[in-house]
Amino acid sequence: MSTQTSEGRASRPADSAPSADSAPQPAGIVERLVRDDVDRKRFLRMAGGAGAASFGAFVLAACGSSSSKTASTAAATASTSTASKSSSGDVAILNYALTLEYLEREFYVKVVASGFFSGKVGTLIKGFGEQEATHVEALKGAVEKLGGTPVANPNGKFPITSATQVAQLAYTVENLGAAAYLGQAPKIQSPELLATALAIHSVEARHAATLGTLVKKSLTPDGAFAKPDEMSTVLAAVKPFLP
Amino acid sequence: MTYEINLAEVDVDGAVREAADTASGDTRLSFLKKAGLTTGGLVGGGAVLSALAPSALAASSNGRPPSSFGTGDVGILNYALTLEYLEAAFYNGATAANLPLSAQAAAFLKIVTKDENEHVAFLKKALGRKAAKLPKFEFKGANTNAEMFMKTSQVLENTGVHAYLGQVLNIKSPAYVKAAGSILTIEARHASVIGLLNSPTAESVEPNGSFDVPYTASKVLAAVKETGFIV
Repeated sequence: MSTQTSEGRASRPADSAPSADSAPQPAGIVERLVRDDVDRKRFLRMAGGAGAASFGAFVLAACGSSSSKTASTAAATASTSTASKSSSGDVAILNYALTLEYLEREFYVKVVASGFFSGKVGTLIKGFGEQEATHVEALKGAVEKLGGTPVANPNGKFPITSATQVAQLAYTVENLGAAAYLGQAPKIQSPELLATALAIHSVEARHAATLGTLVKKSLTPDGAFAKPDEMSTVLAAVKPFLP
Repeated sequence: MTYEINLAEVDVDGAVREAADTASGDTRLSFLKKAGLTTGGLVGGGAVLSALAPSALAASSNGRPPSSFGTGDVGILNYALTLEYLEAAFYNGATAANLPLSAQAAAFLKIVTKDENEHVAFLKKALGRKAAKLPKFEFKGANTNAEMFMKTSQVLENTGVHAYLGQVLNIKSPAYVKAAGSILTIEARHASVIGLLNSPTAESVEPNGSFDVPYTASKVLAAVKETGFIV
């Protein structure tokens, strides 16, 4: 199995990935999403119709028949969903965004609890976490409004070892979030949702650039034009943070 | 995996870009004309500013730029180009002024100058012959005084965020939506960092809270007019 995905993330100048001992490498099944469009579409169908399926089930389902019974079970769960067809694409995107926001919210909860940050920077970081929580609620509401079922909280886990490590990880996570929204923007059908997604996206970008400055990394790691990330890339990158 | 916005991708219908050899300054409408002025009159700064005033834009729908910028996506791109011209000129002037900035602010200026000039180049290329001309600017010391530079930069970058967010839904071409979103990200990054350097508070870094706020073109143009930077 190729390791191109994880290498690709690591090679981004923005990336300050957690050290190898603190975070496992993305599993190979996710990497297939990077290359296989059919897998991606399967993931979208799955995510669009998913009820309370876990994020792990998403990933497995996205990998289809080649990755064992768990996948087909999860896919079957998805097929019973009642999400309307016309908006299922948007629901899938929203649930994907919701998953990322859950992870970010969880991350900041742990960062704040770590007590590594105080003073003005501590207040700023606490505020970032509160905004992620607001994004979670907004996205949950949007999924429900479209007749879908919000995806379950993946209960992310994050290495929290020092202030520098945490700030660098935050920078990585926020860059990923901004790129993830940008990657989905052209696929969103509802103008209202597109507006919301972009309004969230630029706040993620603000977080990322602020954190980048705090850890002496580039505020614009992609240069003058921000690079969108495909869902497959993002999923591979967040895999280490799943239980 | 590489990604870059290129002209071929943006220029989906071929309507915007025109062959370079047909582009001629003589046939190109001036920015002033695009901004709503008729020819023949004595053009003073006040006239231009009034052309940018909200009252002149009342007819525009959905917060779109006035038709004087062009119709459809061309109008939106020219509106964006005008704002980018303004930012680029502001930073080019600041760079030339050799301001006594902190190391972080100097690093910010270097990046932001490069980024805004690249945005200008991208939009000009996308618009080809239909590109608005470079307006004349007068920054009245705002980019030649370190303290004023820091404050003004924060306002300009946040205005950029409001402006791009306000037009994304008006853009027809999916490729332009993508490009505008990509530039929006960068403006937001600039805005937050200059905000951070000015004051490490939530209000300064992210003045709109959890969701950035779109502004109509009339609101943005009124704010630009208020600066008096376009003469």
